[in-house]
Amino acid sequence: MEITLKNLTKKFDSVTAVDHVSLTIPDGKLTGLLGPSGCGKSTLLYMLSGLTNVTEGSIFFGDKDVTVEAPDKRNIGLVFQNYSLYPHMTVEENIAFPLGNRHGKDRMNARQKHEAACRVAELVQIQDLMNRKPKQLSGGQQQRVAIARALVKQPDVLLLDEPLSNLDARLRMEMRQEVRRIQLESKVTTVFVTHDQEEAMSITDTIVLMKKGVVQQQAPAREIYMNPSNAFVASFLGNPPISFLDAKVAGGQVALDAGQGFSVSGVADGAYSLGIRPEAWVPGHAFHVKVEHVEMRGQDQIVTFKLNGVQVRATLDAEYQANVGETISLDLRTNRCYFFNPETGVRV
Amino acid sequence: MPRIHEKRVIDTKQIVSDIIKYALLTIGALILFFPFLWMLTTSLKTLSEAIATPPVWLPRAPQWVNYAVVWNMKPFMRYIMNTVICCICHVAGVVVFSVLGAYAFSMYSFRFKGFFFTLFMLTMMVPGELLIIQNYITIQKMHLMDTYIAVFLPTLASGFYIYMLREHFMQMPPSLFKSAKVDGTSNWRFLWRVMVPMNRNTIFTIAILSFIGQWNAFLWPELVTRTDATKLVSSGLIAFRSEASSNVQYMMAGSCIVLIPMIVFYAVFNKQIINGVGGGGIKG
Repeated sequence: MEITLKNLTKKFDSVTAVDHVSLTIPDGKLTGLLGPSGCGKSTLLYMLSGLTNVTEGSIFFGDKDVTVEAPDKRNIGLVFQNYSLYPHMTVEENIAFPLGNRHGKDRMNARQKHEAACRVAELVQIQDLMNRKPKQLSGGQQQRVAIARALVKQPDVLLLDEPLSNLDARLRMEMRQEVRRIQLESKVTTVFVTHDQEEAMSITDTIVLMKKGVVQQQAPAREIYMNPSNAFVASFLGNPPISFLDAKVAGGQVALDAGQGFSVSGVADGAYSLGIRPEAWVPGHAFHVKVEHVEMRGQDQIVTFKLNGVQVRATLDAEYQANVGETISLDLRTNRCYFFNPETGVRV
Repeated sequence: MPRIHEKRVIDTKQIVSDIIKYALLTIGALILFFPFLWMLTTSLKTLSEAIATPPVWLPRAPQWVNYAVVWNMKPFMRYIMNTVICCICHVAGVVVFSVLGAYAFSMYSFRFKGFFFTLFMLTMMVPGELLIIQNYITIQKMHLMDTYIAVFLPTLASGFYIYMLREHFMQMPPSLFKSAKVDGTSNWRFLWRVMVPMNRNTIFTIAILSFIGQWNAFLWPELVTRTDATKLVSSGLIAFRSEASSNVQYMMAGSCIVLIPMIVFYAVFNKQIINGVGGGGIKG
């Protein structure tokens, strides 16, 4: 089910949580709503669910306008951050609970409900836990139950609100692969909210990055990382983060510290905010910098130095010898450097 | 958690304070228990033993016949049955009204919600005795005098229990309700399938407290019941007093009889009552 948002706005009194958002969420794909806390991503998700009403604009599921439709009429599955399982029911009862709301010709008997519950339980791999109570499950298992409960009625859209944030680091890695697998197997259009860029980048088909209620960019993970549309997108994605420094371009030459610089093409003369990804730096000869700090990460190391008076981070291969206080020589891969308008932050 | 190996230190201060504590508690328990013990022994005495000065502590030969005499003087079985019926109806009504009231006040938003809730709370400030005249007239006009309904009707909705349950309902994570709404769960189904089972301890406490309250109710049932067909144990005992006149041993035997169901009740629900009065009571 393709979801289309047109000028979607939500105001809470004087605060605008979501500001004229227009976007299309592709059918059958996993879309991540990403952004810092308070950026309106959860509000947007709850407007999709119908639990939060819309101040302005409209929401379409396929061709159908659901802007004022009640949550239960939208055929969605919703998974909350805290899972919201019913503690007094077994796993099977929890999963089958939404099916008990069907009336008339859709009414299901106990056997049908059991079969439906078993089918999704198999999908999320909890078929051995059907008789347990939520309390007897680990966080990851509870998460699986919550997803199963959301999927049991075969929703058109699956909405996940920070589904992995209550899990420890290792489990989070495992569960995000699981969310991806479940989404691929069930082929359900899925929207999930997260503030974790790594989570969003690793499993989504497309990322919607938001800030202060406004969509900054919508693109697949690779595209949004390699081709950020503005300084915020560039700074939000990437770990360690991108470094910004003031740079002047004159005659195709970028002048940096102490006569060091590099040449660029297609950038007009003027002052820019230059964003350099840490991985843009490689051992070489062009830049001579004094190492201030080295952070060993195992597979690589983060080397910090000053350039133009600004702290710059570089990720270098772990085998490269960089010691604090020494001067090292580096090259800059200019395809990982981005020029932004220093006032507006827009990429040039 | 791993058990931490504790070094055992004999703490004299602790022991002394324990001894004093338990001694005081024992004395207190004996003082409280004494009237019951006196009632039990007196119920087995002859008249002369019962009124002798100085008092006779134990009957020479237990007069079990007292119980037979008393049992035949008044329809105690009827009284107990009446009380049990009224208690059950009362408890069922209180639980249903409290659950519905608490659900409305915790989950719904409607006009004048705050005002209505305040009204419910205000009822707690009005002493029950003040309402007796109004209730009496109402019951009389409804032609319900001398019926079971008259006994439990006026106390079915309780501001206190609604308040107590509402507090517990409001502690439930709102996402449970939202998640149920997304799944198309009706309010009715959510209430009985999720809210009530999740708060069954509180509801059980309410049931027990209201049961005890109804069992011990005296003034109101006394006013609206006239015949043995509807009289409760409390007012039945009063009626019996005039018949037993100065036969103290019969009075005590009668009191013992009406006490038995309550003792059984306490024995069965001992744990819940302590939880309810100690925990739920204070919390509410």
